[in-house]
Amino acid sequence: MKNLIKAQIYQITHTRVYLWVFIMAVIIASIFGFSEYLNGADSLNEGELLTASDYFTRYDMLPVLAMEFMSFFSCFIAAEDFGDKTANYELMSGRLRSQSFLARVITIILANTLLGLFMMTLPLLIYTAITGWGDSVTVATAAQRILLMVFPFFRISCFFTLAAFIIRRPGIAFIACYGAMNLPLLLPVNNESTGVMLTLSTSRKLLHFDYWATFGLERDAQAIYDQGLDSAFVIRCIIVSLAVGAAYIGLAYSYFHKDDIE
Amino acid sequence: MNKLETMDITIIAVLPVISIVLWFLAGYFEKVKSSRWRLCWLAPALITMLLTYIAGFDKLMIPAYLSAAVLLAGLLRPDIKSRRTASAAAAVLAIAALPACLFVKGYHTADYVKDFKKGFAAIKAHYVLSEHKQIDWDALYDKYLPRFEKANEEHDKVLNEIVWNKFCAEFHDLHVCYASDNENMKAANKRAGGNDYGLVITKLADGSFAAVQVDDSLKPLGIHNGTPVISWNGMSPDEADSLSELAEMQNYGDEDNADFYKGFFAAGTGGDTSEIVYLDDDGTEKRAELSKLSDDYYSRFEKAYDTINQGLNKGHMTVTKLNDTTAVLRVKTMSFDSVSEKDKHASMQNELRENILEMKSQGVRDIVIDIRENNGGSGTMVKAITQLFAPEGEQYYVTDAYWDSEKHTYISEGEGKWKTGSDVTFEGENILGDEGRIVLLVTAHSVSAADHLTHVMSSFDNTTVMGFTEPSGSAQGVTPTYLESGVFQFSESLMLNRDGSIFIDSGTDWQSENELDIKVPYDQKALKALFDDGEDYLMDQCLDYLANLER
Repeated sequence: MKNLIKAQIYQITHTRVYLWVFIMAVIIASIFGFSEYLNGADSLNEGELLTASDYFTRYDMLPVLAMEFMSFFSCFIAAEDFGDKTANYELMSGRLRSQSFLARVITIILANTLLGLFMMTLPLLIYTAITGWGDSVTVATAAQRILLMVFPFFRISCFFTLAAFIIRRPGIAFIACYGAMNLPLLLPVNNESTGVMLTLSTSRKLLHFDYWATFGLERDAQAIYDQGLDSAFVIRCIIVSLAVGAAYIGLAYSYFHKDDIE
Repeated sequence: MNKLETMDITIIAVLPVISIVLWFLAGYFEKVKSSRWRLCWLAPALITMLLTYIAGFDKLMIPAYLSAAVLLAGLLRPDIKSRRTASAAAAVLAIAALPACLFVKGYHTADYVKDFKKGFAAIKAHYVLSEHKQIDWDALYDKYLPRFEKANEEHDKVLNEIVWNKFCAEFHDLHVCYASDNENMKAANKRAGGNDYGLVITKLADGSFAAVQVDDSLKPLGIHNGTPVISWNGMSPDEADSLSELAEMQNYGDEDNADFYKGFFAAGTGGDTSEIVYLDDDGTEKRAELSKLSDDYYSRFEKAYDTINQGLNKGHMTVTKLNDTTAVLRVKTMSFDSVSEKDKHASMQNELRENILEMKSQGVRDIVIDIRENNGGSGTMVKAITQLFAPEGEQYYVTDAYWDSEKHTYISEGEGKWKTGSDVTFEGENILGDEGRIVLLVTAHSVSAADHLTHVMSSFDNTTVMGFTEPSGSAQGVTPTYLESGVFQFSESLMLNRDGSIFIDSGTDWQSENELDIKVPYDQKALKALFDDGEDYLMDQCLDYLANLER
């Protein structure tokens, strides 16, 4: 299976489309890093500029963007080999279905997690370089939250994998995953207090900061963010993300195990 | 019986239908072997997850969630027996969620204890008047935690609202308040108000009590608006107040305002009947047993309250001529529009200036500023209005407290003083000229920025503050804390006087800095004008005052 994983990684690093899509992800993440200036911040005084830590307190759009790119990589890594019979040849050469399946799943999860962490970090680095980190939240807090995003990234990667193994046509699977990702954004949500119903709710809650604010009649408001995370939610986030992700993989394997491969 | 949420109804209705369909499809797919059809057993789980995301998770819906999960067995074990067993189990589980949601208490209710603990921790950490009012946090916590636990045990949303209001009233600061939704607030007021026996009792300026908002059914007994009331169920009306939950829910920033409303809650207390002792029109003491008309005292109370407090029924920020020499500016709330906040109300000020000058050109000399019922808003709007009417020269408004942005705190200097930041001042225009007088009409519900307006303008020589009662006396900056069951807000931004003492709000003496220049007596004459003749008594008093003023 190690060789199968190596083959997948080789395929990813040597496929030009993947490279272009990755570059696009870098560009878009960079645009988010420059967003303050693109919104006309260069006309503001130094004290009025948002710092990187201010920006991090309103960071809920970035994971959605990262997950959209993840859906692309998941669908193409998992499903493209069905189109050119690579998967078929793997099985004919004596590999087990479980090996072929797991090699792709592991590659997808690894690639997506790295991509997600990269896209979450890059805009903050650019922001810090331009306006400094600031004091809204500490670097450790931001690092903690970004690292915890590994769990929702795992869960969504497993979901994309399930969809890709069911649909088996990378383009259609990507459109379906993209739609499934964005549909909840359009829906009215009635107080999703658990924070684990969907990956989207988990990522929102992980990146949400309660705050209180003070102001004066002639002094700008200052928000003070509560940097602690509810430990019950963290445990729930980890357990549910791992369990639901594992269930998706189980379902995907169950389907793939008994499915005809063309 | 609980009221089911639409999305939960959809989940409960759809899952049995899908189970039945899958039961039949299980037989059909035995003949048509295709792995694609196995996906039919995945669909219910995805649909349920999405609908639950919209509706919100509820533990009483767990049987329905399990139902969707059980159907996944059809994907994992694609034989007819497993699939049909899964369909039957799923249908039963989904239907089991229906009585659970309908009849078990706690369907879609928040954790009220958790909410209280969150709100309490926030106010304890950030309430800027904690030292000024000498709040005993431990005593408050010990007093109210069991009450919230009771509301939580009973899953009683209305009781939760009542307990929050009682908790907020302890602070004597109208900026400490809680709200869930209008329907629940009304239900809480109605429950706490008690029974309606056909009247409201009010305290007059001489300390006696009189009936108002009297129901026609009490006329044969000789009880009408203004009838003196001696006692209610054997107690004086202000003593009877202590039996009213609604009275406990009232938040007053100043003791004088609490005193004004003494007795107002008494006539909601009692059982199926209540005993009233009153003086008839001949001055003879009479005793009567009044039967309960309904369980909604609050509606009658609210009408009486509005009759006493409501301002002139004209639009917001309109200048209306009252007579040849006087116009009224009604400021219903301290906000104008979204543009005004950005330009610090400069365009609003220009518009108001033009209106006042137009009135002056028509011979208007004096202005009544009616801020009865003004529930507050923007400080910059206060500044923009006062600037027009203030005497010429620099005028002082307030001092922002010094904020230590590294320690995230205000700095106490002891003995009730705080480290000051910058003073807020403005240049007065004296738009009315030296002959013009301003009367500010206030009630206990002139709150927050209306308190600011009163405080700033009362220092002007050309302004007189009039009302039955003082403005609320609640003036610090407010920020909301969002809880699962509602919004809790309290004072988090500190406003000071020049010497570093607290701006306006009362301390342990329960006396705010805002006072009336002329306290209009709430007497039989006022009561008749308000409740029988439907007059705007305060405004009439105001015009009399201006007409008779020596200039």
